[in-house]
Amino acid sequence: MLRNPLAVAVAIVAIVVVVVTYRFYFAQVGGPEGNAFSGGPSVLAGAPAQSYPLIDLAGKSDSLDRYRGRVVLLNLWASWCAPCRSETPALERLYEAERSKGLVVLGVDQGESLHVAASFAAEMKLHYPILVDEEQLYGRAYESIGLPTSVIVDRSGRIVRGIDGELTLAQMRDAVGPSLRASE
Amino acid sequence: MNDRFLPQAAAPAAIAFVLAQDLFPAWSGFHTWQYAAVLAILAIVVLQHARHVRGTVALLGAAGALIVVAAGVGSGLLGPDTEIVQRPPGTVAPLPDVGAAAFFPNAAASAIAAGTAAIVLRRLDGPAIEIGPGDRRFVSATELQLVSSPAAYVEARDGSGNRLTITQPANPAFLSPVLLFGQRVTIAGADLPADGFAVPAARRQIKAFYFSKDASQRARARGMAGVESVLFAVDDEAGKSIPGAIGFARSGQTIVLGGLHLHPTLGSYPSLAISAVPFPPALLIGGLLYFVALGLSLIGKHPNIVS
Repeated sequence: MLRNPLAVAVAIVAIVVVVVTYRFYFAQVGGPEGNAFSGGPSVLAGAPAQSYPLIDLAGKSDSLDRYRGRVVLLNLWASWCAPCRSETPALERLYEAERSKGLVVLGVDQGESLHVAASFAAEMKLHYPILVDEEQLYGRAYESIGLPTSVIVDRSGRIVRGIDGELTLAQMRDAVGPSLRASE
Repeated sequence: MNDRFLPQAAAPAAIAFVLAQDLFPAWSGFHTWQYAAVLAILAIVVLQHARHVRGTVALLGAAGALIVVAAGVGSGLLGPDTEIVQRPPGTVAPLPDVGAAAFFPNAAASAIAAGTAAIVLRRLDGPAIEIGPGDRRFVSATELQLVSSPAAYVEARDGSGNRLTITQPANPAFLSPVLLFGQRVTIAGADLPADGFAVPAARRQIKAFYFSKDASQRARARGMAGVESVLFAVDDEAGKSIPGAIGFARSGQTIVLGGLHLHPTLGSYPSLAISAVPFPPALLIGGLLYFVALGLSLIGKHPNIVS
């Protein structure tokens, strides 16, 4: 064998290929992840925030992208959702208190008509911007596992964290505080 | 056929068996011991033949065939079975073993009806790959292919025409109006794709059963025989059936059940089929060695692998 360099080379190549193939397929065993239930909005931290053009309560086009450069608390809600209703006054207070520091609360109504969202905003005396998402695009993209869902987006458009469920004012301040302070 | 035919045919047969994995990657037979045994027998015959013929060219050809066989056995026995990754529109499925994440596009009703949605694969170490209907893509030792499954985009409205939120508490995407019919239910002997959703604002739970043209023809549904349709059964929020709140709707038709106006758009949405295939560099090196040896042998200047 050693007298034949070609045979030696072929043998070495064959051994290398067999070892690489063997190791490669052992690394493959296990299959894909993420085919079961959603991990919820918390798994999105660090990812770029997805934006879809929608209409606001005045019927004008608006989207998350328009608020790039500010810290956004994206809040997914619906008028029938009791925890959403109970959370809304705290969102309004947070918006009024922190907007001067660069915070925007952006409400996104999930799957309801414009006039339903407008009636809810009027009833709750809301001043923060609200988008109407009839096709539930944001709810799907942000892996919502319930309502309300809140997602904190930093000034560069990256998701800082996603939170499932109703938040108190103190919890909202804790959630947006680091992003607001980081950019002061 | 002479007595050397079988030994000579062993190498090309082995290579053909392995290449078949690239042509039909989803066939489960590649992941059985019987397939590995056939390849092992062919490998032994190739080795025996190489010993009998002797010579550098014969060795080269045998080595090439054996490398291809090793790749084939590797993907067959060690590679995972074909897996179908189904995710709702707008979500992402991490595929750590492929070193990528699959982005399932947010599909509107028109995209469901057209069945044209493409999945985008984003990798850390390479450009994004778009996989459309009918496309096949190879990423390292996996083959990725779209599989279209029936889907329905559902709109729900109240009596005043107000759109109502659709939720899917039992599915991965809670806030998706797209039904992917991931369950199977037998109704009157027919095995049907099934799904379910809720309309919380109306305090309704709805079961949905997909009827293909064939299934509706067999079911002889009134006015729907031979028409692709969905059967809705509306319950109250406690899961109790509402009398009379069951009925078929074809794509684009609005049906009123249990006080809800339901409007399905039927079509398809892709899933991603991931199959193990032979490691491409191994196929390339092994195949090259074999065919170089075959070429030299046919030229006739060297001890050969065909005589």
